[in-house]
Amino acid sequence: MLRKLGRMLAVACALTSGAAAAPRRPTAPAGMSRVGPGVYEPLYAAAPAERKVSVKVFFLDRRPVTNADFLGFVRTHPAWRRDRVKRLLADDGYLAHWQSDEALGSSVRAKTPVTHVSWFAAKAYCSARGARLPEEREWELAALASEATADGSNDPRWLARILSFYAQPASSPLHEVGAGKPNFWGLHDMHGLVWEWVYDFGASLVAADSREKGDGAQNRFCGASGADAQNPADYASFMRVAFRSSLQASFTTARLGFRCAADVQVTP
Amino acid sequence: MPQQTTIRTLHTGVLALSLATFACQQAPSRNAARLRLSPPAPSAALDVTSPPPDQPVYATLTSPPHVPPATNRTRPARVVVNLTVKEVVQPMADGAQYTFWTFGGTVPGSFIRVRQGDLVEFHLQNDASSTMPHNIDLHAVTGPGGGAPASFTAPGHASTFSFKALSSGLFVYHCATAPVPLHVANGMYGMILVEPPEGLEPVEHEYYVMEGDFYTKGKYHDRGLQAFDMQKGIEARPTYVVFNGAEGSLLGDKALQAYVGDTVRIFFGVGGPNLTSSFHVIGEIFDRVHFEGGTAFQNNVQTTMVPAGGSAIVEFKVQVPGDYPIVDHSLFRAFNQGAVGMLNVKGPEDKLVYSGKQADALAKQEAAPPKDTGAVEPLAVSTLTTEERMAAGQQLFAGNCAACHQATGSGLPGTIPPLAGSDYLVKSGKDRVLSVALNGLTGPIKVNGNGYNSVMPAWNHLSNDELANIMTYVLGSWGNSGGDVSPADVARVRQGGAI
Amino acid sequence: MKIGSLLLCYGLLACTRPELTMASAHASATSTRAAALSAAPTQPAKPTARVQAPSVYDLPVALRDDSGAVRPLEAFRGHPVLVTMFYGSCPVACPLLTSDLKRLERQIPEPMRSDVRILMVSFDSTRDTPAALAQIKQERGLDATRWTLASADDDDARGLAGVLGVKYRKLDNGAFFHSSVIVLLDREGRPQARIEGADRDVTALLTTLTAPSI
Repeated sequence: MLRKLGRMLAVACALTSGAAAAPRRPTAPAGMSRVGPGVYEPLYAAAPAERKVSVKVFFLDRRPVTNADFLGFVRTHPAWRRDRVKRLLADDGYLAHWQSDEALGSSVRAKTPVTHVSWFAAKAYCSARGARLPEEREWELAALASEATADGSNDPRWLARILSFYAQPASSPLHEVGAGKPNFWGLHDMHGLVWEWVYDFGASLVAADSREKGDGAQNRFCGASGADAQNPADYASFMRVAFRSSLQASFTTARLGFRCAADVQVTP
Repeated sequence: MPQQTTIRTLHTGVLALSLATFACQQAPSRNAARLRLSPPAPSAALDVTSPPPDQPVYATLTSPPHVPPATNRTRPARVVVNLTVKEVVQPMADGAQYTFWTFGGTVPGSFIRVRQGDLVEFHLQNDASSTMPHNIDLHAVTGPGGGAPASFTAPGHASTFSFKALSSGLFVYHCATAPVPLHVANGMYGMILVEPPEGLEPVEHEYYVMEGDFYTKGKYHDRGLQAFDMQKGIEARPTYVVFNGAEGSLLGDKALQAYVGDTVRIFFGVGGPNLTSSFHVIGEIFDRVHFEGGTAFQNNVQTTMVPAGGSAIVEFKVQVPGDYPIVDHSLFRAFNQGAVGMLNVKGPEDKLVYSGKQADALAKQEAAPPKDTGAVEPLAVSTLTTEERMAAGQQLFAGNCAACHQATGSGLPGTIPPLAGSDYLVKSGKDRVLSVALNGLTGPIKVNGNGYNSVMPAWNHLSNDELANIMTYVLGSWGNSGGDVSPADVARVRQGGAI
Repeated sequence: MKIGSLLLCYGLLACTRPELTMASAHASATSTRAAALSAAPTQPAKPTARVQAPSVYDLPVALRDDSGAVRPLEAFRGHPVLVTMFYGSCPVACPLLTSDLKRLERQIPEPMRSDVRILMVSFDSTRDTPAALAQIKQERGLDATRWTLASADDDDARGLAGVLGVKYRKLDNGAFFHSSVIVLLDREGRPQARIEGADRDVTALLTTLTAPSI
């Protein structure tokens, strides 16, 4: 509540002072890139007005949070140790890949993305850094970029590469973060490494308003226009949407990690 | 390479079929075709409505091509099914691998067998190593999504739902997680059999076969791990069309097996994602087909059409040993994309039903055409004179023997021994000669000082009367010294076995 | 509606949480990890042991109710609680949810009815101020001894939705798309039963509520 109030105040300040001086371009926090603003077309438009969703500028981690990062967090926030975490907030797979409650072990490389973390754990980590989880629309806008352009959905080679990521067998080991070329926003590993938590993963697909129990339900549920099964770009989006909708907040899985985002505070 | 052998086998099979058609007698007639549209009226023994007892039964699941045994239940049960989804790299063809998404580690997934009226408690686990969430839509389920919404499972987690098997039939199941065609294209399908209340008639062999189309970026038989090609999938241009998830899955030492006299039942389904199958077993006729896996059936079917997401139960009794290719009769799929399997049948020959190759000769026209191109008139048995036998025998000889031994009885030098003036005939004696005619002869022999090593087929499908006539003609022609052969002689030698 | 969309819709129906169709004994709100379940498909597996769901009170959630008071969610410990999430400006689904709960309330026998608490938490803390909530309470004739309407800030609302399995999306116009869920918590805050969708049969909840184990 307070946080929201604070945000409103910051925006109000920015608006009132805007006429006086050009606002300084905010520097990104360490490890983050500036992303957006932009327009994102969700796979499933929640309403006709939602077919194009605008995304304000924000900061996003250049790479996913690593095992080493998360180990540091657990050491300073023992409530999130594997042996102490509340079962409500993380299921029994939490950090299952670590050798012990406070050490990675030799089979887990420090710079690989941390996995087996729940939404609550990811959220707590980002909060501890003064950041937050990205919203779905923010993450999707960031992921839309190819190496060359902010919107790679018209580049068939880029699309083909994305799809080929999903053909990789489940058994292939995770590689270290930051490998390969960054995308247009300077972000690494948005595709092909791990699935990533978003703040509103529970918004991925929402059961329709009960008034639409009948014929209308499918329409609202699925978006009359957003989904085009013929577009290969949508297949990767489908898989992400499907994956998110299978999750619950306490779930952990072997291929699910996260990165943090932050608001862009326009300071006077 | 196995594939070339198979194609050669296919070609040989087709050639043999076409050669044999003229020589066979008619097979004994099968059941007259009938179309049964409604199941028999339920009797007290066919209980599908009693509430199941609390004590559950654990379903036995099998990997293809095997089928669990009959439930042998007479009343509904509470059946627990445990099925795990695993994403695995397995061979698609020689040298080519693919990342399959599977139910139970196989493509198709584990076979589930329950009985109409059962209450099925379904536990779906998604292995922790999976990259994708998965679920299951069983066509046997009456309810939203066929169970899909209730079974949507993230990797490393499990879901449970239950359903009542209201209708009997052979039903496909498949993953229904978006994007659905991709999940199915990666092999996420299998079958569940809901037995009718009275069960299925016991047969010697039950097999589980599913056809699927696969779409890879590489070409057919490109080596290495193959990636899925979505554009090909959308355009329905498969690279592979295979049974049970891989080329060769039913070939070689993995061929299906049966013995002469067995009845084989194949539970066949098509996972898709795109294609409909024209299911056929070369050299066999399906005695009975529950088309579309439903209650009604048709008899005497050569090829049955099975849609994507559909099934058929085919049953046939095997009568002749040999190799029977199992194909999708859309032939390029069988020959060039992998849609071929095999049924090996062992056991004694039945030349009446199928003689095999009887003659392999040049189609020469010089030989005198037989006087009668039609069937030999049936002559009264045992009352013929020698002259009558000679006349009848000449006709029969022309139609059966002259192709090899020639109308003049001279044979073919080096290949076919002569009958005219043959010392072999004289030395053998009547019984031995009859035995050769009835049972055939292989191996080296000497006739008139010349060596021969050919194959003479058995002529035991000719009647005692016919053989008597032929023999009489042979023994009395071309300067041979003569001799009367009666049908009783033939019968005696036939009974006594090869001499 | 395009066939493609129709088919994809079907595939994506999978996102909805399973509706409770069996007796409450199968608590579907939590799921068990499959790590131990590695039996080969041909072996019949043992039934998985049912683990008691953890208490939602393990998550700190600050609720500002219709009287303006701020209390933790845990304040409800000791009572069976029927909890749902909504927003005040919701035109149809939330009124339907309310009527489902009222229907259920009428069927609960005493003395249980006096013991039960009904909690509706709004994820729209901006507009659902205490005054707005109080007005809704009055308009819909909700018994103040039993009903609490409250709101939680974004973070707490997301967290509560996470433990209850409620999905919602805030639209740019301020409206919300959300699933309709009623969860029954026992006196220790552990989910014992849930139904999904508004205007549903509430019998399953009633059965669990009146079971002695509650």
